[in-house]
Amino acid sequence: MAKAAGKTDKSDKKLLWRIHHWAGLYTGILIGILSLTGALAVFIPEIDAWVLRVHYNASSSAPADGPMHFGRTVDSLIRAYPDYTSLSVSLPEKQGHVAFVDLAVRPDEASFKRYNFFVDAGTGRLLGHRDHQNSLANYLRQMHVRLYEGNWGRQLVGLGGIALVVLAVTGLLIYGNFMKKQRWPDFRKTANLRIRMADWHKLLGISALAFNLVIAITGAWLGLQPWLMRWFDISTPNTFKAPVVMEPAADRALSIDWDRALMSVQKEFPELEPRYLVPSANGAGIITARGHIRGLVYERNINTLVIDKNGYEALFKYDVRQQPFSHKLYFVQEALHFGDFGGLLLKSVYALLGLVSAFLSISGFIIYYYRINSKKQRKAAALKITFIWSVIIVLILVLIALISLFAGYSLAATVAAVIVNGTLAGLLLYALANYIRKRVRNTIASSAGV
Amino acid sequence: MKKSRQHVFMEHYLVPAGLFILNICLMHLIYVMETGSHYTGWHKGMLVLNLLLLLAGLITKNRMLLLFPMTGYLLVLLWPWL
Repeated sequence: MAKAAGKTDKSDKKLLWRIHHWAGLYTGILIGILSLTGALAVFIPEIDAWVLRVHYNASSSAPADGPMHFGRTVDSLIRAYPDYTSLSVSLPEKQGHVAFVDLAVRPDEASFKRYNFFVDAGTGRLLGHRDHQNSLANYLRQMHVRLYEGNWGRQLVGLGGIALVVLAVTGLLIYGNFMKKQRWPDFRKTANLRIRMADWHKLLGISALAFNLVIAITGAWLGLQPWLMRWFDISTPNTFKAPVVMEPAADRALSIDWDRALMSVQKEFPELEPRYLVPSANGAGIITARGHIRGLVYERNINTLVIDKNGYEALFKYDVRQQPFSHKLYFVQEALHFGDFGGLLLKSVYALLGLVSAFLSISGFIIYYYRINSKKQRKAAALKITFIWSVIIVLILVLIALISLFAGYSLAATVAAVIVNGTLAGLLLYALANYIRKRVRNTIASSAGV
Repeated sequence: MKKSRQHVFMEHYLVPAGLFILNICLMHLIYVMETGSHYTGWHKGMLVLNLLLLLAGLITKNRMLLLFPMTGYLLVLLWPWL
């Protein structure tokens, strides 16, 4: 009886190991890329602020708690682009940061332009503009969120998240079996690369397990969100639709006293640190203020106050603290995924642990490579192959970044789509060809046996 | 036999559990330090103490030094609902 139980336990462990092995093999590259881009993506606001300061020479002279001056610039931009389709003002988060005015215009049905102006919030002076879509910040976000592939890149990233959940859980369950008499954090004394990599893989994997699980679960949700919301009929929380009460042109022409709008936000929602002010352009006659409440672990800018453009009175307030658990769960995902709740130190820890995850996919590949190749074939050196593949992947990431920065988002997205879909198609064809080859070989062998 | 069972319990169960909680406790502590004013000195002190004891427990492989801060941290985490 005990023997039978032991046998079942062993076969269960073998099954778990096989799941860990295959999930890692097929999604290792994806997880490696996402970990690497994720380690950079946590610093997007800091990187963007640095680019603005160094490349565009744009910084703000506004004092930390002093008044902000951007109203006149916004008014002059509205006069320059009276037919804008959307406008939002993003307020500086830290001292020295500029204010942004994001303006979208559609001169005719076929063309669409989106400008990102930066304003010195101290003097109100317009400092310059850029195309936000072609910025480094947007590249980092799009690469991590959807591999720069617009059709189903996001869902692919979500599947990568599910694979990481599977890897973390199976890794935990087989950990004891692979440690045997080894103690954490001891390494076995050997020069064998496979054993050294296996030790690093086990020790780092178990040390960063909780982090990997959080990243994997939140990443899977964020990636598969559009599908999951459709399948389970989940509606987006915090959607307020103000009725249209005037012509869109009249709405756009309404003059806004931005200082009064900010004072109204301060009065109605004192804990809110407003980051975005969005005046309506569809005839609703409102201003939407979005922002963060300090000390909360929720997606940024989810707290909302909608005020009337005429009297600056509050029409709608969304305070995430007063919402049901389902809303809180919905909005906690992004903050947990990007480590956006504990300042620069927490982001640095996230980045470091993200790089650990990237290393786990590399060490996993080296262990696999040693396992499948005989000693003779192994002379090609696993490290060399891993190094070449890593360089190729980094070069592809840099190439898409350069195209995005210098030739534009659309071309970069096309190149990324060709690479992502081409690689997927190649992998599928390879797996199919392998399957057919094995079937044919088995058929020939069995007919020869007959 | 007894020694082997103790090793398995420590290395295969307690150490992974300790590391798991250490991950969360570290993030929690950084978050509390960043948004300091919302938390009492006791709360911060308990977090620091649990983190240090967890680290000590992992280094010395002392069963009580691992179990005590693991329970302590869970209490700190669940305190608002208790």
